[in-house]
Amino acid sequence: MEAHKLRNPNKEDSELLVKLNALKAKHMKGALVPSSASASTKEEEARADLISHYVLRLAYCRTAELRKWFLAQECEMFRLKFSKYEAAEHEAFLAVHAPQYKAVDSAEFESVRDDVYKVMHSCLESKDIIQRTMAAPHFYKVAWTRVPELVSQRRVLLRRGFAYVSREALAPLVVAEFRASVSKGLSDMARRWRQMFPAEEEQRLQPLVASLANRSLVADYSGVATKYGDVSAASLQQLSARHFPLCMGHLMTQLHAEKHLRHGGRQQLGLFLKGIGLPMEEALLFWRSEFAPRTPNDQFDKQYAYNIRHNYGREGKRTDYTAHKCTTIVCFSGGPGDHHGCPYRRLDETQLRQALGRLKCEDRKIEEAVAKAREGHYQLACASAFEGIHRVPEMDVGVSAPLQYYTESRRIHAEREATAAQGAGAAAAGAGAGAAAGTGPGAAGAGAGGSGAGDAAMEAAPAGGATPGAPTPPQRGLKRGPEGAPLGSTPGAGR
Amino acid sequence: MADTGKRQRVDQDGADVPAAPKISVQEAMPQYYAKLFPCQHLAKWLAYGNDSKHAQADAHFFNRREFCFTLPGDIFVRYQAFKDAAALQEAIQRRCPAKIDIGPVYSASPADRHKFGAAFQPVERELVFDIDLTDYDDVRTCGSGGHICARCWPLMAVAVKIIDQGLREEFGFQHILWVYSGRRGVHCWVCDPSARQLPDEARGAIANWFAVYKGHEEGKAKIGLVGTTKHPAVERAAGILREAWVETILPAQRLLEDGPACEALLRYLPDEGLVAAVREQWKKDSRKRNMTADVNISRWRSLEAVVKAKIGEEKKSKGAANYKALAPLERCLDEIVLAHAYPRLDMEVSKKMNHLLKAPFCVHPATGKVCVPLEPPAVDAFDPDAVPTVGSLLGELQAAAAAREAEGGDAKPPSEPWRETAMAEAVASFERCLLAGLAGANREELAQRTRVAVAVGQMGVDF
Repeated sequence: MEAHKLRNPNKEDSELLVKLNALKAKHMKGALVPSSASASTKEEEARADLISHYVLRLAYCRTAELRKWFLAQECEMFRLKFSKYEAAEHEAFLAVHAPQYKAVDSAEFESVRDDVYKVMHSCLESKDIIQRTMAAPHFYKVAWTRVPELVSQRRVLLRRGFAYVSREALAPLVVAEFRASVSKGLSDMARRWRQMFPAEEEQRLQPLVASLANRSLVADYSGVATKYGDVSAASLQQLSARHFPLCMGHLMTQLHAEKHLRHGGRQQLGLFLKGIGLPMEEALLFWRSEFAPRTPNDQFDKQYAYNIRHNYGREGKRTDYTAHKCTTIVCFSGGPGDHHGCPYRRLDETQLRQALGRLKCEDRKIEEAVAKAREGHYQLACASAFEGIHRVPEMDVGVSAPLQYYTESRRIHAEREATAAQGAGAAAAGAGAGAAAGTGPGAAGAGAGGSGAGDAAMEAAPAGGATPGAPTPPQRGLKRGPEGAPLGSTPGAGR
Repeated sequence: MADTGKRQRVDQDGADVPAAPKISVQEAMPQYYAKLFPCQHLAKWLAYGNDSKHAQADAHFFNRREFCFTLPGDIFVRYQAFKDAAALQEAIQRRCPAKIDIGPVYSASPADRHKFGAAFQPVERELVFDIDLTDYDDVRTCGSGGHICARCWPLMAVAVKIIDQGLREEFGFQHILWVYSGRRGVHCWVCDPSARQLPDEARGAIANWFAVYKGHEEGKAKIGLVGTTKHPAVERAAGILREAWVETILPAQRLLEDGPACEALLRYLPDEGLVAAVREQWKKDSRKRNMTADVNISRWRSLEAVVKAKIGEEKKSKGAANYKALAPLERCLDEIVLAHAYPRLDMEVSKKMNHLLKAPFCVHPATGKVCVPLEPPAVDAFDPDAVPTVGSLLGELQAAAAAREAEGGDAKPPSEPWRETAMAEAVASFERCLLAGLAGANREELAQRTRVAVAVGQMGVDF
């Protein structure tokens, strides 16, 4: 039951905390602490937290990939909890766990005062905070490598390799320490696990540990490939026009027009095509013919074929890569010649209108999509476009992955064809479309903790873990590698 | 071999360059590697003092470094490792690669990587940056793709200055080598011990720190400016750019002459009325314009004046509290400058320890140009069309041999033939920029290892 508290990585901060509590309540056997929590229940909670942390450490220590994912999730949790601390708690925590941060004395602070002020201003800190911080400055001077998060966002003053960090901006600093110690703990544990556990615990712990890491609450689209049969290079253009989301359709169009795509675009489209069931040979055929004649055959073999085989896990590291989700794609940026990334973010409004018009989207929905994109809700914009193109009513959760869009589109299409084939009247067809919109987003939206089918999938997952010792079969058709590590759903794919 | 820009040469002493023999770059490479490639210097750098007799020197350090050869026909041969400079020189001469890339130092020799499995990991690597003019194609008017000329070099020059200053003043690095990449860009190698040991996360953080330009969105360059105050690091960069903008970039790129570049630039102004006002002012200027002044500069000055007048107007009419209208106005001038000239890094190269990067002193297979070091203080005067090429260097060798012949043929050629060519200046520059400073850092690093060893010994820990 401990396994499921941190599997929902695609949320905003505040939302995430709420979500975490909800998940916790659900999976921790109703450990919902009433508001009048006594000291003992708090202690109890901390104990449960501790146990779950260590159980998960065990489960996720076995491969570098798993460790990396687990580390990222635990750090995120820690960051959230730490940000809820109050000033006094911060101080107490620092004194105990991180005494190596030296405070900056007032003389030195004067020399950097102006620049510190500018940094805070440039980060759009509120006037209150700036005033409070500058009135009673408590700054710490640390090597910049300890605060990569702050450096990454340019939220700190750097002088000759040292970062001037205010007490308020401590969180990343402490998270870094936490990360280091958990990371070390994980690798220690991995070593010991290899050295001693398998022999003694083969029957008892081994299967449990192996299966823990394979559970997922997030919808997994790896089954898409098989559901509608394999896709061939020849059918791609047609499929693209009907079923591809704009990010992929746009790449297809650009590829066709320019006879070339840059690396980011090849990666985004290639992995998606793989996801919808394009076999590797067909993929090679497709790219080769699209790149011709601009890229002659032998040059294609030299420059591009390796990468395609690599994506299919046939070269180099031999990882079976999965298609990008929206969260990844939205974050892509690129130069003027790049076409990857989320079109709702990257195209300007005229281009976006044209592109959606070409897909025969309803005008009303085009405007809706453009408006949502303008506000920065790219995934909702995509959902609006989906509704407009497929003429279906509201799809209340946003699109979370191109593969989800594709699956939904294929399913609606298949249903409509079926009803048409039955020779049913226009009324039946309407009902079919309505039903499709009702159940569809729910089933696919399990990642967002949606309703209906999504919850059913969530409940199915913990069922196996309730009986320790019983080796659980891999859940929901996840592909498994030689050591039982998940190949299909790469941990950490969400972040 | 075009000698038009010879006056500006920094890598040659201005002496007459003999006409180069007409052979292809690929044909010239065996001779280049045999006589001109300063392999000893490269190996000296990459050994970081571990080639000394010091008790703490790690004799296997150099051998754990990955080299990647690109053989003619784009065949990549990765995971090459060599025990010392002589072995490296021998392999280079034998295989005659079109390109040599330098990878990280691994936990074991790359030759034995299969033996170690997952334990074979990169452990150390210079922090590197790669800036390519290709990424500036939307803001340069003189050419695109692999093109480079004196008109777009100012963009590279400011990039070098901004990143170099940032690395030194903000991050405290000292041993920084800049190299012309042979065609259309520059590479940067930060070789401080602390830089070499940065984990990938910290490399990503540095790359982001410098990434003020964040790609393109809605047909405009995305510049991460918000509010009215800039981060001191961005302000420093903007200071360098503002100066270069009017002195070199604007006149060289002619961005404000009528055309698509000018239209694109005007789109950074926050409202249509302002654009109209600027055009109006330009029209007025053109009537009384004095023909000697550069139109780009005069138009820029007018644009600045119009925006500033508008700011004054807004402040007067609605007071300083009118933040919503004022902030974009106050930002827009800097935004234009940053969008057109702020360094555009290839982020992926910097983020990962195990990214390969072309070694200095390689020859670009298409241009024949040698990847020579650049010195940031002299970067403005650098002329990418005047760097030594494999052809020009071989010509100088021949000339030197002929001169000896003429003097009676008694004098012997030097043991390192490149000393008679323009390569000597490039190597001297390499020594000045990097090797001289590194010597001290290497000694300090070894001494630190001694201190650690002693401390461990005192603790009585027995490994």
